[in-house]
Amino acid sequence: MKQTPEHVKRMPISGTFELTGRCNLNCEMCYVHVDQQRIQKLGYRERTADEWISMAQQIFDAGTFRLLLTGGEPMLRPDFCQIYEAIGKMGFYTTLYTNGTLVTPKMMDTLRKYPPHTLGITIYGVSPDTYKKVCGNPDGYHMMMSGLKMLLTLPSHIELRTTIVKDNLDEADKIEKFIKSFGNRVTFNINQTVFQSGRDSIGDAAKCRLSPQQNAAFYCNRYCRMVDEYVQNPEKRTELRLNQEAHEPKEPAPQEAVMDHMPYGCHAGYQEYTITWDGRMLPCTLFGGCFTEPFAEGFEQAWTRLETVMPKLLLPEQCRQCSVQQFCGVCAASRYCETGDVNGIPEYFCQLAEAYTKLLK
Amino acid sequence: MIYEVEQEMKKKICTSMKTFQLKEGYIQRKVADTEVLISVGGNVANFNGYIELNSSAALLINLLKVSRTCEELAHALEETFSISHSRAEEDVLDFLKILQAHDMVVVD
Repeated sequence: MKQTPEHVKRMPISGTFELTGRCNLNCEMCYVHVDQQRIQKLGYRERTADEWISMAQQIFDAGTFRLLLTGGEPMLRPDFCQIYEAIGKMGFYTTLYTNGTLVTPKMMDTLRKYPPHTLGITIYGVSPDTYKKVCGNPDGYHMMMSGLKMLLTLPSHIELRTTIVKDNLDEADKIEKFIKSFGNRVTFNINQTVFQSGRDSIGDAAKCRLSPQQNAAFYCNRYCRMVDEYVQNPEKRTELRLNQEAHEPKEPAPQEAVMDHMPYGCHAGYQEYTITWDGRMLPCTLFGGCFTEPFAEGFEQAWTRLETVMPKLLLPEQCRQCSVQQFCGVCAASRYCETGDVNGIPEYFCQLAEAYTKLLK
Repeated sequence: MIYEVEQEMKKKICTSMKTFQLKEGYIQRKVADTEVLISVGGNVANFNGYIELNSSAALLINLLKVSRTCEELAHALEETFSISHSRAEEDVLDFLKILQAHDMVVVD
């Protein structure tokens, strides 16, 4: 029997609180967004501020260190400041995700008191027209710019994030240029692989996401530009560490051996969890296929039980034999999102891997 | 000469009645068998938000939740880790120097 290395015991180190599933934008690719109609249809309810604050204390006592506060758009909640301030002073490494459009002076007072350690602000485009196409709200662009100006005054580490879909593909370079204009003050996180929602949201990834061929081309072009930039810039070349040491064979990273102990080969449900806007605990934010109920049964029991309700991962035979496995970025959550089955074969990812193979030949 | 002056100054700090206390905005907690010090409030940019504490640092930080003299801190190190008094004093002063450099202590 394999022994679990001590330093990778199952424990709830990183948590996500989805304070709301509602949002003032209507991004076509969102896997979380619900409106009032859907909330009523689902029969769930948002959790109160007191419930979230009490849950935060429970997860603190259970050993959670990193806590992501997100949504939907968390600032949509009228009690956002109350929740945020109570959690901000507890002693987590906090990250806050926001679309930046609803920032008010009152919120800034709260955020200045307890700035998040990391602040992720999503940018969908650099024009009202693109915000209209992607988010259904042309005013979103100017609202985001106004919010961004305020948020940049915080001492937090800032991460500007974007998701590339068909409707902002032609602005991708401008988005990147805009983000880079802030220099080293911010980091850039770009996502172009959009999953079908495994979570009852109103988004429709299939309609808006890049085709597998577009996705592969976008990624490869971007990667080639990055390498070009590094090679042409003598200062940046040293960052690649193109020296003898870099080419020496290395010991296999202990991480790879560690992943064997984790049910899904990642930290989902093993050292990470998400508590959704309606109070369910999921192994990861994408994976709605199994859950426990921390508000009903208490955090400790919900966390303990989560492992027992996670469907077992069995790699399909077709995937074991696949000739383009090395380019396949699929995981248990993405299999579930795409097929409804954690062991399903997601066609989009198969085509994506094929597209990478063709480009790199 | 500079070393000797520094040593002399260190002795004076330790025998003086100056007290040190950790400023607000730092929370010590145990995460997966590791002691960490996490900054909250306006200090989040300090040391990227958190640092791991070794056993002696964890002991000193815990003591500094209230006002302490250098002598008290040195005594605690001496007792806990069975080290000489002079070594304990040296370690305490080096540690306090780091905390002061990051504006993490109130000195009275």
